[in-house]
Amino acid sequence: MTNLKKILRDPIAHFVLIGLALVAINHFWNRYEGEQGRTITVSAAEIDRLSVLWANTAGRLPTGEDKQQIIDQYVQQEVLVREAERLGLGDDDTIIKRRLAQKMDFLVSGESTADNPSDAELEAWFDANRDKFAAPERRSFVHIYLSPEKHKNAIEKVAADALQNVQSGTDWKSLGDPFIQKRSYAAIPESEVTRLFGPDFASAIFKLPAGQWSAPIGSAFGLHLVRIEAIDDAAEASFEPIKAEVTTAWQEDQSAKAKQAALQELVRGYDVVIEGADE
Amino acid sequence: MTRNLWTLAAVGALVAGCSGSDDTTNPSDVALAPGETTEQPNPDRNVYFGDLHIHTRNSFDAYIFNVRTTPEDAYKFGMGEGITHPSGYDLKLEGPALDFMAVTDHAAYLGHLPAMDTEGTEISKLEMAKDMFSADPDKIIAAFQLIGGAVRDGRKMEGVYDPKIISDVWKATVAAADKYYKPGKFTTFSAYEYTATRVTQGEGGGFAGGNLHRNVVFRDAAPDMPFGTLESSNPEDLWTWMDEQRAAGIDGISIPHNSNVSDGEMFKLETYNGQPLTKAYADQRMRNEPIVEITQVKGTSETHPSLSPNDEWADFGIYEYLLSSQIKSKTSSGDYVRQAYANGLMLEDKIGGNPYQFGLIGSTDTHVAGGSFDEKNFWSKIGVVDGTPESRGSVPPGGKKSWDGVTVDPRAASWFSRWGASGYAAVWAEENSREAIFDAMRRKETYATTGTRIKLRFFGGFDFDAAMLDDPEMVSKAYANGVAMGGDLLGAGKAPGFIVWAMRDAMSAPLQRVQIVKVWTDGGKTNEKVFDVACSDGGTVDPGTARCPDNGATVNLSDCSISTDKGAPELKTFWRDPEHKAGQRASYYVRVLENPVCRWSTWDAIRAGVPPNPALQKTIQERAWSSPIWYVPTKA
Repeated sequence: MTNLKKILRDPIAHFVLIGLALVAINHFWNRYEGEQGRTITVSAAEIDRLSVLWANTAGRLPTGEDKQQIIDQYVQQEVLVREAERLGLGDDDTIIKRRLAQKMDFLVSGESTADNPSDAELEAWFDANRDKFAAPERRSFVHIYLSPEKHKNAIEKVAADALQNVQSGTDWKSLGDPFIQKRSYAAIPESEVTRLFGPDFASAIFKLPAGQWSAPIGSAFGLHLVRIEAIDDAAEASFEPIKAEVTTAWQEDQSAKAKQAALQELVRGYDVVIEGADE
Repeated sequence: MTRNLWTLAAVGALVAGCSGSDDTTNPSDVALAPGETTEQPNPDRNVYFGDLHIHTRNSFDAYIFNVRTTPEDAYKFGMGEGITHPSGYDLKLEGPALDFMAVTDHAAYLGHLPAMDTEGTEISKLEMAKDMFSADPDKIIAAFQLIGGAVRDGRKMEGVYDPKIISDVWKATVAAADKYYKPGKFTTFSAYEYTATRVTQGEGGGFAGGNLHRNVVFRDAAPDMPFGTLESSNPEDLWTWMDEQRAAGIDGISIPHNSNVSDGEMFKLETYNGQPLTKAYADQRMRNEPIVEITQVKGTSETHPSLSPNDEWADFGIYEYLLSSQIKSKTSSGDYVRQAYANGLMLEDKIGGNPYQFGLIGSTDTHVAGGSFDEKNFWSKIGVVDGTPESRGSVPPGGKKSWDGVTVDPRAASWFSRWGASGYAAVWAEENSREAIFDAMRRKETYATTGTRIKLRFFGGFDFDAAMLDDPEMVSKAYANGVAMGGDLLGAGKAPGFIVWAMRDAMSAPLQRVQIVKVWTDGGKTNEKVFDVACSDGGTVDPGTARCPDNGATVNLSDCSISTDKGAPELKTFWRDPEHKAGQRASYYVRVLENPVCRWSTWDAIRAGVPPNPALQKTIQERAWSSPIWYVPTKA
């Protein structure tokens, strides 16, 4: 019995119990789905199985009295499960449904395998899916940072002075305060600027024209004077240099399509009625 | 010796920094030509954020939790694509792509469960495999316990353990890391988890005992097979194997994690077999374990309120129970990082070596191939078991709208609901490449955050002064005349000066305060003290209490909005230790605190339209911890 104690103490057992509760519910669900009657049959084989489980926990074989208890518990559980089914509790249980659907989903996915495409096939597919490989607009910029912690209420005046200085030829690198990130960024998309500086700053600098210093722009960090150095427009990709990437994407696409087809095939076996939908 | 090597490396780096600084500014200020995608290496270094602790379907415990996503999926997630959670919903990073990652599946029985669940394999024909994937919960538990028990005991089960499966899955793991490595943009490492456990005897023994888990991360080349706990449960054997690998050209580091549930084992004051620690032990440990994961989903290992009663911020991410048990963890020894730093200084006095002179990172330990860093968007970590708010105790069960009379599942109450959305590994490196990031980890120029992208620089030197703060060349001068986080300051009298510079995460809360935690030895005793060094909102540090005033930032619990007029975008300061004594060893690390934000459990509750669980903390202060700088007294 020390093994059993070990198991009960073992944490993974604890972890897995919750997951298993879900498995158990499915299990009973499947077994009793469709059963309408009010007859509960407790087979001799079932009693034997439960007795062995009982013995594992108790460390001895069940006596007649224990057996009666085992049977009572079994019957009670059956009744509860069937009553739950009668009330339609499982129908509303998103977790159970999702889990079943997911299991099925894996089964369906397993059936689809993608072959190796010919170069021509791959290139044709690439042509049809160019947008997937296109680069978003990217901008290179430099900025002069002004710290609100340092300048406090005077910050706007300091920014205006800095702007005047840089416009009249002072080297931008000598102006403003040190910045813990970079002062110059090369070819980065708006999503990346959002992460680094916050959304307001990102959308502001993606509206600026290139080549001139901006009025002060606010970010999560303070004020910045920004000069756009270069704008790389959203660009189309060409096939050869990224062939490997295209192959991977093609394979994923094929397997997603195969899965979708398998799913459609299953759906075809059903009549779908959507209540309340427009006729 | 080891330390001297790193000091030399730092000196080498700063020479490079000096020569670059003859220009008006550092090379990162040189704009690239349009279309050029790779930045030039920056001698002043850039900060990169990553996750070095990720499990996929190949981990035995993830597969049984219904996880089917692969190492490739994990890398896609890190690059910003969506992947599927075993409970059916989509996982996506809240923020932008990560800069670097490592998939760290358990080496023990790597890939064995997927193989058991694959028709036609030898291992799927075993009775155990049939039970594992049967419909009978009792059989599943029993079968899974056989594997779990064997991992715990470090046992190769006859007829089940198959090195060919491990080797195949390991090769595929390495191949995935190589495939997704995009130098300059996205760095991946070959890695695995060494899942050793010290089984404690007697009451509360078994798996609940000492967690000695490590992630082993390789610089570039990877070995043919991982060295897991089935090879030996003694981490010293792991280090010996790593030394051998290194000699053969395969460099790696091992990163301990969850010392908070090690039952005093992770940083204890004797060897695995109970022998006194020696200088050789310290050298070997530091050669192989330069950094430690201080925070992740399963709690934070900085310190405990009972160890640090004078630290008001000590009660953070405390996971009170030993792994998956109802036994409270020990706080008296060996579990927490701050105490290990103190003990390390003591050992240095005593044996001439310090096995606990490590730097810090955070990571997630996700078991669903994608880390949840963000409080707003938390999916915990063990698949179908804690994939919903209800299962992790943040929302009352059964669709109830109130917590009156609700008893939360004890597992949720003691574990899942106490876990956290954490954390990141941050490194300062010249460029985003395997070599640069790995070398940064070696020299401990790293820090940890609780899932926020705070930027943090920390330098120490004897000739620093406050005027440096406004110098545009501050960073290169700091490298040239001092050391960065993770370094040693060797001195004979002068008090070290420190420059701390922290900047908020644009997508999180503003900063509240910056602190320096000092740990030192004094006549055979260890001591610690928390100094606030920079306050937001114009506050000044009270010299008596060493604290900033409260800045009054608040969180609105009805919608999680935060004060917009409190806190600082950046805090920067120069600090000299006012209590410095020339002969005392000391370590100094930085802790940055953000203004409070809603904890994930509060976000869950708001989305479900229920009150937050009254037993749980409603807000948290996200934070970052730097690797320490060590003051090493030298003879005058």
